[in-house]
Amino acid sequence: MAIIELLLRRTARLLLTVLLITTIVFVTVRVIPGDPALTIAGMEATEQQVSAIRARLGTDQPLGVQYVSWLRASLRFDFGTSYFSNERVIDLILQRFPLTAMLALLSFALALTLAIPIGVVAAVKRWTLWDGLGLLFAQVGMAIPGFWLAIMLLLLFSVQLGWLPLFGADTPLHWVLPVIALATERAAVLVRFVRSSMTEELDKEYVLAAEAKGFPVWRVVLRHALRNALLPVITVAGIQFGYLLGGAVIIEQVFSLPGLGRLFLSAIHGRDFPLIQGGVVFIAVVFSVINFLADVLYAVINPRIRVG
Amino acid sequence: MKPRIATAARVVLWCTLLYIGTLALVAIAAPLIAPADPLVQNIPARFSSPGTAGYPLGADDFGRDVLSRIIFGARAALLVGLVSVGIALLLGLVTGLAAGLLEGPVDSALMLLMDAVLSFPTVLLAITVVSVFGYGLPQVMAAIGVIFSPLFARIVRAETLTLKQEPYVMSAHALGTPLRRIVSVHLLPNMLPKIVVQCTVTFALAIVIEASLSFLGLGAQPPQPSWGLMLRSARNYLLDAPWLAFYPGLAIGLTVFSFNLLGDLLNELLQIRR
Repeated sequence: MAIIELLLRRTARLLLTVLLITTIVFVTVRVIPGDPALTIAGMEATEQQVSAIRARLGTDQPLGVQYVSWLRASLRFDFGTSYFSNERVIDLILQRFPLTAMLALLSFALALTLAIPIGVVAAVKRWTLWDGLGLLFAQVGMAIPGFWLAIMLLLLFSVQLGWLPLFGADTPLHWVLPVIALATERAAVLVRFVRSSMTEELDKEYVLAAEAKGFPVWRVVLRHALRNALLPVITVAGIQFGYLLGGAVIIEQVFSLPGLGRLFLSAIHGRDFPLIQGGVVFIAVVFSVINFLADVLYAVINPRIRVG
Repeated sequence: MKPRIATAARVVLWCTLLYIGTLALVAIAAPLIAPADPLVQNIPARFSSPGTAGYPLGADDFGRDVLSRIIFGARAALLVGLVSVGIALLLGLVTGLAAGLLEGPVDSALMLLMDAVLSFPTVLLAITVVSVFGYGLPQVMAAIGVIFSPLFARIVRAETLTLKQEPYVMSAHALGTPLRRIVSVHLLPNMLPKIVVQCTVTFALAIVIEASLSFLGLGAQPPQPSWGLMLRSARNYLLDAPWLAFYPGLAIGLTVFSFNLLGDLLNELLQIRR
């Protein structure tokens, strides 16, 4: 059973990646100069107070012991409490995550909705004006930084025309511009994938045969070539979704959306290390799981792998 | 490619090269070209609109000349591109050659690590590195260089594995040619086209990431002229001075567009030659 072997291999890779990332996070945080206990205790703390905090944080233990307890805590998503708000890090993350996830999901949907038709038309009408327009969209979309597009959209639709609200996430209208800004860059990248994948498919003999038999071109494209062409897009889509999560961090900043990105940035500015560590591991896990799911979905849909 | 399109591609290629060349000249000769000192503040002139005498593209919240800041910002952008691509290329060459030449467990371990890095969203990775090692352009350049090294490592590894099987490389090896010479005479020159294409594309990516990080306040620090940082402060004055957000973004967009396009065109042209 090829699919079971693939599932096992992908699961192993998922676990390995997560282990690798938690280890990297542990090592980098130990590399940072400075003792967190001193930071928390403040300037006027006595030596006893500082060592009490060290004992509480566990930083007085040998590195190996710290590493094992860090791994065990990470497995339970227990990243300790934030230095500043005294809330549990995982609670803070889970409060903010839905907004970021929603933003990424909506943008993902929009990006695919734009990219698939544009890419297919570009491939079918290769080396024509339509193809040129599609490629131009891809090039321009990739070149314009999402956050600048966001600012320009804000200036046009919120400041000049006054059609859409400026900052915040209170109404559905607030979501329009962030989603467009975030989706454009991904759509641009996906257009190129769809186009090249579709082009490859259209050059195959079965398409020629179907055409020769007198099937209408669009029927051949939609019923036969598109299905095959979209298969590789699924695997890429997983990675693209991860990039959307990354892009969301920046877009949230433009629109003052209270998502994971803003939480993470305030943690960085405040050097709130438990929150930084937790945020990185959390995003890494979410990201690895999405890629895992994309790989599995690919295998399930693709009969060549499913039947093997 | 149809011949007409190939001609068009060549024209576009020269246009992008012209833009990049001009940008490089502007960056090098910035003090001679810029109409004003990018750091000199003139509070009475703050928020002067574009076209005001002495401020062709307007003045920012400190009354600094926007045009001059964009011209000096080109220095930061190109420097980030050069240094981070240099680091990525160097690291990628070493790891790629090691993986391709040694194969076996070294190869598997290196590639697993590279895949893990590549599969993670670049911007988040860069933010994480900078959050640990501190803000500033040097840290950003180092972070981008390390993060993008797998892109080069993969190419170098794949090319090494293919070229190793070529008869001329195998006979050179059989004749006892030292490894250093095989690498420098047979391997590197043959993988050069692909590496050049990757360099241009990575250059564009590096500029976008620097701009993003500076926009978040993690990259270039005030008062340094950087396109991303200019957008960061412009965001606070969207109602009063919307033009502040326009020109720096245009500069980023045009530059990234040119490097991406250059990469694509080189890729097509070099493939044809092969």
